Amino acid sequence: MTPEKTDAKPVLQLDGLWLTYGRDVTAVRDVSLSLQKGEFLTLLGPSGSGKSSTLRLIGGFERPSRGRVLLGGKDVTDLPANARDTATVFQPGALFPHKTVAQNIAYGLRMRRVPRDEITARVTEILRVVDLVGYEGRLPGQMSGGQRQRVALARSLVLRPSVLLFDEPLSALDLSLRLQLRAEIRRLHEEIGFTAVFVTHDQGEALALSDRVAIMDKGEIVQIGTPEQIYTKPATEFVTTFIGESCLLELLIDPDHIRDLAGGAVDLHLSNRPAPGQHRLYLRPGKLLAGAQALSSPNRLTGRLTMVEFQGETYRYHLKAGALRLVCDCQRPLGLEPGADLAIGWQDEDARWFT
Amino acid sequence: MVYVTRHPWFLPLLMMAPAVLLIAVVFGQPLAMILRMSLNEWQPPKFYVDGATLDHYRRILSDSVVHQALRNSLVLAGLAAVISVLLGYGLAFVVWARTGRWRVVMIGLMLCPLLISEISVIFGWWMFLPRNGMLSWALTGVGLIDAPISLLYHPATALLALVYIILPFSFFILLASFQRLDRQHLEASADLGAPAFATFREVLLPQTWKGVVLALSQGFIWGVGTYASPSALGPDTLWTMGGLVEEQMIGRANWPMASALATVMVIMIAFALTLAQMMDQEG
Repeated sequence: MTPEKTDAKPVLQLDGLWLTYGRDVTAVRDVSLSLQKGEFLTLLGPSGSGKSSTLRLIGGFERPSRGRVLLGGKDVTDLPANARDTATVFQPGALFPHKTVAQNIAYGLRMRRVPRDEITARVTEILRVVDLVGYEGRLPGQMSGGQRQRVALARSLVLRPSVLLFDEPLSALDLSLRLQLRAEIRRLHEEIGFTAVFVTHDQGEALALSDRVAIMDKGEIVQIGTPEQIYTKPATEFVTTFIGESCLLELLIDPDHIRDLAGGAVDLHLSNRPAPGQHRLYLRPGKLLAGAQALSSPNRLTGRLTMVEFQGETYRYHLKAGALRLVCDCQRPLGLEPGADLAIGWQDEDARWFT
Repeated sequence: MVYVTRHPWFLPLLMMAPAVLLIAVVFGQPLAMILRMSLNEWQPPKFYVDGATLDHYRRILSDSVVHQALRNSLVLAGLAAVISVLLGYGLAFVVWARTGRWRVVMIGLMLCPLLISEISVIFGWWMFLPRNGMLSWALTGVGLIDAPISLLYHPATALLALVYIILPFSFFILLASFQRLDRQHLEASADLGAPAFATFREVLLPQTWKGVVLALSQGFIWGVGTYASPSALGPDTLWTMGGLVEEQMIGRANWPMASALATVMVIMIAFALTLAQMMDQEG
């Protein structure tokens, strides 16, 4: 679901946010972004990239050193967490262990002084939405990790916050549960249309869930765009290596030859040869062509086949050309044995060059 | 071993045996001796004569000095326990919420009183509180009072001394109950819209309630059992049960009476512990 690009007021707006600790540590560095109603934005980055800190600034758990946080056009920079219309789904859930599922979910509504019968109605409704009818009286300790996370989600969702914040809510779960809950969150987003900021270090989650992804590195947003844009047109070398799998070819280009870093000439044919100098070329194994198809490609590297790996969906061919190594994923076996000569080719738009 | 495998109930009994034995020897046996002693007769100048009489208990029931001492002990120990828990809770919360150096300093400071004997502490108060003591001098110095005052030998001083003794214990018990708590619960509560007091009432207190009850009962026991500080720092008229036991035992050489008073104290404490147990189940 892509939100319509209207000129309506953004639900959430971050305006030049900085968060520094002491003199040397900068957790968040000049982060600005805006979020339309119903949009699902993911902050993706390695640990220490400032994504969780940014979320904490939005939730009101940290106060920015500089910059503003606007919710629905209103400046909430100085409001504490309990006065903001945001709700956070924490990583381990942070459910109150001494309260039942129903009491946990009702907690925020009670704090907002919602009338008693409305609380009951809304708790019942949200339990149906997250598929936990019949668990009202359970204590969190009596439930599985996945169920607990659904309760945490319900506890935030029931408040109908203007922005729902997710702080790596799935990272403590095992893989199959993670995929299941991921689909669940996506379904709920499409059903209810909540606005969300989701923090994760799992790119699969980010690409599958989001309308837009913001890649963070060292406290900064380095690229923001749709999952397709991020994946196919990474803006920086960091994004290229961080998202998806890439092979790196390190090249020395002079007017006559293309060499590897060891100085040996390699059999690399390029349609557009970049300026002389040292270059780094990134290629995605899934975008490459091998064998006969490679020979008709505008760009190709020829070398020796060193290994073939069967990966279930694909066959992975390992190529060695001088000091360069490249792998290519093919749908069908090429019928080649290690030691054979092999060419791997690619289209211009699938190559990422950095100097 | 064969016996154990044939009778599975025997194993837990066997494993509990050392602890049970230790409690029986170290606590049970002296208690039984006190109970026995309280039934003996008293014929001065002998400490006691073997016998079986309830005279001492009868005297306890009718003697107004004992009643007053009982009341004083209950009030002093109860107040001291409550004040220690209030102060200890706040301190434990601060230490739990903070990280780093602050925490270590606080814990170190709270350990200090435990390293000093009660007698030394009493001497400390004697230097700190009298008319020519440090406190009086400091208060006149900054102009808060006009003439030097003595703060010794007042019931509140006895209470202060008790709180000083009990506070470290309450603090460490409460800190232990905080340690199991997840700091994120506070953030979650605030995030759901709860003001600070609601978070305290709904999230913090229920999860530390066991520690509160434990610290209260523990503090009460210390308060009832400590007799040197209240008698050295409180007014002469402030009789406590502990003071009475000492007076009967050492001053009057009436061992049966002292034992009977001690038995009453044990019953009092057992009652307090039962009450605490009930509070715990409620919370």
